[in-house]
Amino acid sequence: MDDIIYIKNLSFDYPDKNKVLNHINLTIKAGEDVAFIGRNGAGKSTLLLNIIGILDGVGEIEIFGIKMKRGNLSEIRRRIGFVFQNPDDQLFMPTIFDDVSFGPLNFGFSKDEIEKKVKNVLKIVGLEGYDFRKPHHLSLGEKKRAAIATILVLEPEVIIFDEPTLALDPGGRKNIIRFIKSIKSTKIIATHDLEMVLELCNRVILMDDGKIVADGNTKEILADGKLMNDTGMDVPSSLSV
Amino acid sequence: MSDGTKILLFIIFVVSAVLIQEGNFYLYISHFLIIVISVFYLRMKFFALLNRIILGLPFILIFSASAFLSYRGFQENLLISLSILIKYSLVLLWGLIIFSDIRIYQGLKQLHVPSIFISITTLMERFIFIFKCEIQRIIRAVGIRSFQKRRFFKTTLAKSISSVMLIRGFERSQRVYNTMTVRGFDGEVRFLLGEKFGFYDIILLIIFAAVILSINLIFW
Ligand SMILES: Nc1ncnc2c1ncn2[C@@H]1O[C@H](COP(=O)(O)OP(=O)(O)O)[C@@H](O)[C@H]1O
Ligand SMILES: [Mg+2]
Repeated sequence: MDDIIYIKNLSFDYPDKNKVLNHINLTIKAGEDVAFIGRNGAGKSTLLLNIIGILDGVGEIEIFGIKMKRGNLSEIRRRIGFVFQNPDDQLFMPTIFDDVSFGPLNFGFSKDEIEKKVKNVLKIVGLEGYDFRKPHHLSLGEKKRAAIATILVLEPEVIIFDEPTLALDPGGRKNIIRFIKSIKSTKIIATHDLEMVLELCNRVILMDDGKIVADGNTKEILADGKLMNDTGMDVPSSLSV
Repeated sequence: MSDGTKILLFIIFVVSAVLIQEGNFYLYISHFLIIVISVFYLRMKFFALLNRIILGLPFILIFSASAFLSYRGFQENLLISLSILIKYSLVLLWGLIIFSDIRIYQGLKQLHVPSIFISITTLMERFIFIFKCEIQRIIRAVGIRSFQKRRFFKTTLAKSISSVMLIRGFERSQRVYNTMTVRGFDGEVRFLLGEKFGFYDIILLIIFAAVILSINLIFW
């Protein structure tokens, strides 16, 4: 029972767009670092939101062998963290400290524990001493790291990242990648930053138009020129020599 | 001092200051003395305080000048205006001292203000900020695309922007809400309370209330 994610026949429709997910079947095991890649609108974010139970599609989902349903959400969310695409959505409290302690407070950690954890996690993400800064005054790179801190502090077994390097400058991007690499939890990343995928993930799931079109070893898939072209992607330059 | 205590100290002082009869200068002075003593007691930086007073001063002046809007005789008006000036300065000063490092939501929580009210205000504050952000984003986007500076054009634009805004604001707050639920949000905003409401706070509040009460009794 070391499947962390098991999905069978999952389909999802938005009110104004059908078949955004089209009969998805998928198993992810503990310790696999998985990248979901595919062009914009392929359905990556939608799939991840189903995995965390924010969207509710038709089909079967089990997380750590726990059935996805209303009564189990709290338990599932305690064990899977989700870092959203836009850090401005994730940071909404008056100060960084309040934001990072938001999760632990909801999950009932004690005061001493929280203070220790927050301090510790801010150090890990390189925002030591930012406790009482206002989130909206930070740079994008800092915001992204703060957003990761709000999840990391909960010490989830799995962390899902949605487009973690989007819109970052090269320095900020390197920084985030190095940092994500150092995280011990199992990582699931939706992105079209393929160089990052090469660096962080050993398994790639390629999506297009709501379906999984390829699933396997990172290098094999990313180096497949025809496959990549057909799905609107490019072979990363470091592989296309 | 706990955050709840600060809010209570503020309320007591404000009620007392606002209720001072016009022209009762003994009471003005004694309230001012309380402020001075507190500044020393809390070892506040006087110049930082002065800075913020100056920022607030224009509003107080406008406030007090409003006394002249209805005419009751020059001297009468002057007296009222002066007393407004003094009262609001007192309140402002006290507010600056008390709230210099308060965490207001934590304080409200300590005073057992219903948590639904606190949740709504924190979320409102956040929502207003999000709204402002989105407006700025749209204005920037529009500003880049349109070169027309004509006023008419701008107002029609403003109308269409505001309808887009509503939808955007809604979607954005939905996303914010999502980020909260994945972190175990169940409808209650929880805060790490600062200092607990302790023996020291009770003593402080009693002494403070007693002082305020007695100066009022003496100088009324
Ligand atoms: N809230 C929504 N309402 C309606 N359609 C949506 C919504 N979010 C995404 N979509 C649509 O669903 C499809 C998949 O979107 P998404 O999962 O965000 O793709 P990706 O993350 O791979 O870029 C897109 O065509 C997008 O337009
Ligand atoms: Mg996406």
